[in-house]
Amino acid sequence: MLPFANIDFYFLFALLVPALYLAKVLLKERVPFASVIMGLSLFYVVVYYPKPVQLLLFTLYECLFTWLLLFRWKRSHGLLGSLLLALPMVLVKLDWNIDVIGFAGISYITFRCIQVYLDGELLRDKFRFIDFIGFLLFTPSLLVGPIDRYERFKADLDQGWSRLNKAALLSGWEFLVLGLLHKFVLAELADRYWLSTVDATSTACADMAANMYGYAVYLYCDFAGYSLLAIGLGRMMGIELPKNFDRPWLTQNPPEFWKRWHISLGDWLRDYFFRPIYKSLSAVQRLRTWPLLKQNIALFSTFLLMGCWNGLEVHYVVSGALFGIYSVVYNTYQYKSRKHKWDLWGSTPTWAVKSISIFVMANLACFALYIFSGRFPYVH
Amino acid sequence: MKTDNRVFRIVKWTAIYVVLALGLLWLHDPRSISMDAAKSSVKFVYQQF
Repeated sequence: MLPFANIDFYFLFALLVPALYLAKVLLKERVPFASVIMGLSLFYVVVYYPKPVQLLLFTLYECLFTWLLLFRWKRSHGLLGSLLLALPMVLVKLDWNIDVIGFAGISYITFRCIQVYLDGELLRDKFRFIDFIGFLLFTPSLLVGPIDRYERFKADLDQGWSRLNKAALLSGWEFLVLGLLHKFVLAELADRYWLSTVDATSTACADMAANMYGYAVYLYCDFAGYSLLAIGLGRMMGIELPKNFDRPWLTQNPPEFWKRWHISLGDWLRDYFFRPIYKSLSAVQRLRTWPLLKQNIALFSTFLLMGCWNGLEVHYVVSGALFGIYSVVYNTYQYKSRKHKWDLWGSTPTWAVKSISIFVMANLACFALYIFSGRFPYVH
Repeated sequence: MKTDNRVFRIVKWTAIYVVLALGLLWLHDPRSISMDAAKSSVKFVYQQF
């Protein structure tokens, strides 16, 4: 049973959440909150998660190598360490028919491990296996995030049983209701009465437009709904997961879009991929005098990686590359307009500039997501 | 202002609950609801004692 996928999951947690609050009353003095969160997460994985053996073996692998890299081999292995932690995920993504190691949610656990490893210098003193396993396997964020950070998750655990209170329960419930509305009503409506009625292979302009906008609405409602459900259940269980969507269709440019769409992935890629690449490029002597080129290489590589991470199918790679091109073009425009004091908009009113920017950005994002969907007839 | 916020909140959440309830009833067949997971978790907890 995958998290939030069907009604059984909600029945299960309608029992487990009150049990957690009951445990607060009964076990408060005797059992630490972190142990109960870890126990509950393990219980769910062992009893209900599909392919629990693979998930547990993978968790063991990640724990072992995170420990070796942090406490035995130290940080000198940088990229090699990240590759070691990402190896199972890469093998699964390469799709070499090695289903034996694959399971749903492998990428998100890998991301969390790499974060702990790369922030190792800061986290070494705070590292505890009970917290780490709870962090990796926390049920609400197990399948598709949001991608939390260890230090933030641990701060919630350290506050202990006081995290379980009426305010957390009520605000979690509100997120849960909004998530249900997005995922099971709005996304379902978009799928059933919009997307399913359009021929996905059609090359007629009207059909392609219907596919493009329909998929964007469906994906947003489904994914934002899932994230709201995860945040809601997380809060009810005392953990405040980070926000993942923040009105992304009102953004005016690509960097802003990625600060509002799948926020936790955008932040992760910025901190653990873009910055290290930019830093490495800065060390290259020949690129010292080419700051724009360095930024653009790092930006494009980051989005290309994001595309490849979804899978090595052409539509994923092209959609990642397209988001990369958007960012490179916008970054170049920003750089040049600052340097040469361009004034492209002249005396155009601010509201008009803002409206045009929002319209253009929303359409560019819809187009890239249309390619991502695999429904675009020329790239699939 | 406070009353306005409260009224707005009540109207907003009433609308959300109504749309959610009608949407769930319309789009998802209530007869397909199964209690299997709830039953097995109650059984599992019961077995621990």
